[in-house]
Amino acid sequence: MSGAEFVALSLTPILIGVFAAISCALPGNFLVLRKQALVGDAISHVVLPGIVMGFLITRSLDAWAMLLGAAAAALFSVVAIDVIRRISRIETGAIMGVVFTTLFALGVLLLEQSDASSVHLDVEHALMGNLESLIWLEARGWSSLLDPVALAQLPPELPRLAVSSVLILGLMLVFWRPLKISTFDEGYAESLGLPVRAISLGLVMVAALAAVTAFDAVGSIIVIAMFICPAAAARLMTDRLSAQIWWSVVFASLSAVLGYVLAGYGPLWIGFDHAVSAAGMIATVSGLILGACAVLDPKGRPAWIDPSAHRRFLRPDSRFHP
Amino acid sequence: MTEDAAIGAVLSSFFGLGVVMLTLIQNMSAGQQAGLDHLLLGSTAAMLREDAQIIAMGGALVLCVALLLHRPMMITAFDENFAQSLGVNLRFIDGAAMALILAVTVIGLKIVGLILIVALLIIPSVTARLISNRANHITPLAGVIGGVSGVVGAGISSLAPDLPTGAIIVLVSGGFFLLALFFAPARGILASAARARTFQRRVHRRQGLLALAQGYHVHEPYTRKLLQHDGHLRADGVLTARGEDAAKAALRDEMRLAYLRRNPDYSEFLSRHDGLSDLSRSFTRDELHHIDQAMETAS
Amino acid sequence: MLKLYRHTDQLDPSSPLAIRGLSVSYGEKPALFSVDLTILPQSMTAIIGPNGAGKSTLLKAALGTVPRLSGQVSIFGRALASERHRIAYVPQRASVDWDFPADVRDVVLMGLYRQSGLLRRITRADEALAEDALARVGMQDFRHRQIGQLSGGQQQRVFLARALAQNADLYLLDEPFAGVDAATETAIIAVLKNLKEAGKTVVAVHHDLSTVADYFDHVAMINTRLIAQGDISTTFTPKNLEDTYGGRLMTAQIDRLREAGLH
Repeated sequence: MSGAEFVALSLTPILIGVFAAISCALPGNFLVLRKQALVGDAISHVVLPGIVMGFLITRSLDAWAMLLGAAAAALFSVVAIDVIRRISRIETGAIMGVVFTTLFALGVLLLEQSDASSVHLDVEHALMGNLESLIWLEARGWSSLLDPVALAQLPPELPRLAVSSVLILGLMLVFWRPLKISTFDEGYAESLGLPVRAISLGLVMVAALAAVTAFDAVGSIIVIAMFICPAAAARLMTDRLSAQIWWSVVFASLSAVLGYVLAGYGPLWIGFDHAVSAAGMIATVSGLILGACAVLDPKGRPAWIDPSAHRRFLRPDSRFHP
Repeated sequence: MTEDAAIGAVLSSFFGLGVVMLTLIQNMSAGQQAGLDHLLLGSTAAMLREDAQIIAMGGALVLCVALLLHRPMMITAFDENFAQSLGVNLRFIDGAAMALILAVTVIGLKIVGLILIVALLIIPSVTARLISNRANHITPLAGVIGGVSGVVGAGISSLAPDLPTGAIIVLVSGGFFLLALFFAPARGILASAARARTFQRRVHRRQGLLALAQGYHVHEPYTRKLLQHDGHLRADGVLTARGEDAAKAALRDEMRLAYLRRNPDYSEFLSRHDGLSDLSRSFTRDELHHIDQAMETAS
Repeated sequence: MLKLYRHTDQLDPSSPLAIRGLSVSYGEKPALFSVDLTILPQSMTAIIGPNGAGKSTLLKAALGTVPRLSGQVSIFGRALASERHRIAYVPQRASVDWDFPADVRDVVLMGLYRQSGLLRRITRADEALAEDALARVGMQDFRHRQIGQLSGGQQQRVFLARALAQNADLYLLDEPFAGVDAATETAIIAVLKNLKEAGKTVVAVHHDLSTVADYFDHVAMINTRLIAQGDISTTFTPKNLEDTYGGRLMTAQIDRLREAGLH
């Protein structure tokens, strides 16, 4: 494929996929460590009613209206789950099941009742996104990356996801210590005066932000998979939280690139004429990566993967002198 | 890896794989629309008589199996080790539960859709759990709630031409859940809030009376307000005559409790008491008399 | 006639931790009822009582992390919020997931959060503080060990080191000797006694009655209500133990304690 074709047809979807994957994987690390992995699942289900409501209220297909609607719905569901859990003392998983299926049903009802269903807002889109269609037709090759006129025609999903990934990364860095302390030892965090409930809610809000911005471009399958698979795989690679975060970013990017390429070209290689769903393939690849990490079990790893393992490797029992 | 992470990972990556295969099939047989929408939401409108019959028969079969296995399932849910000691085959029970869920899903998938099935697996049971504390009641109650939701939801959706039946049924059951969440007799929000408030008042009253009985001041405004409201305390913080009696009674109860705690023979006795209310509520007059005499001899 | 224990009417402003009329509940049975407690400065106090008597709850209420039904808590004579930096808390070891991706140094540095805040870099001085805390509990050789690979006793020492790094004036420990080896127990008690020498105040939930008199100078006996509080020599008596543990403490146990020199 020529450079021009690649930039126009594949570069933007790949970048969008990578940014979407990273922005979900970052908060996913903490969700997995807090045993709240399924929160991502719940959030991505309530995005649908949120988007429909955003549309119904503003009567526009403007992306921001829908994003706001989705964010509001995500926030509502998270707070509702927390409140119901505190009051009723029912198990969180069951409450999540109740809240997200009910809200999803509400979304379907609203969708059917409104004229939104006629304008590309359908369930299939919500699940699978339209990654393949986010192409950059104005691009004439790599040089277009420096051409302001062509850049102005970039699919808006790309800058939006880029900004949200950077924002999420920034938030993680700024609140790194409170997040780490309260995730490891909530009782101790409280004794330091840290607002543990606000931190917990803030984390879920960040996850909602990631889910909502990624959702529109790549659909909810990727969102759910990226909250969990890269983080869980990264946990198997290292015993340091910071290293785990970077591993998860690597795995998320790898899933996005590999998944997109496999979906686009894989079927052609084995003799089919059409590409398959990129969203589905990205989620599949992330699952495969997790599976590979679990099978290979790098904890009994060769020493070159992780320097701290090296030390352990050389000195199995204590006596480390700097 | 933790269980929830494993569930989420398997769920999402297999779902992704499913979508990949779906697009593959769609591409191979172009024109045939095996859309995801239908799997997720079902197509109640396109239901045929045969479909209804299959669902009815399948449902009846599942119900029979559930009734048959209901005892061992209940015991296993409560205490796996105990169930095993009774000779229950845990693997079989787990497998049977999975098989039942799978059967329900397969039977219902085409008509009512995946979301509705997930919703109806969870919502009626959670609602029943809010209403009752007894496992024997919860299962049939959940069945009734699910059934009523189905009938009412289908009824509502037939009122207008384009109401999606599946979604309406979920929303009706969600409505039942909300009702139960607020108004359930023991675990509902209103009932628990009221009980928590009553309990806090009892703690404050008791604490205030005990402090006063020992000649201390009551500092907390809320306690003072409650005691004044009861007519136990004057505005200047001095006990009224009635208050004196109540304070003395509270102190005597506290002494009795201390005595009961001290004596191993009474631990059975003591477990009857909630640690707060008047002893006359937990013990008969004779028992109290006995305790008082024992205390007298001890001192 | 039995005497009910209630020794304070006013919160003592000189006390590192003073509690008056504290009641807490998790349901509809009080976990703590009308507890008064005054911890003396520079003392080592054991909180003892049967299982479910509210010992851990008492620490959590002092830290303001469980909702109170009634009562007041003062820290060094002032409100908790303004004196929180003077408290170091050591939670129960079993309360966290030790499979968390962190090493020993990471955990100890958590104790410096108040100084380091959100973004300030970890300085040489911070490192030195953490090093010193680890050295005091004898864990300096394990600084890069993954916490999941530590023994129970080592984990407990790391928790203590984290609290030491806070350089607080009041130490609240929840069952610091639960499930630890003898060497760790000796090491921990030595650290705690040093703290006391240095003018700090130590309050620990404790479960081993046979070591109370050796390790501590004061005791608070709790069974939902405060049963007794005071100096070990006057308060840690068979009578008070009976009042606290009642039928739950075997007479044989009390006899053994008596042989061990209990008054």
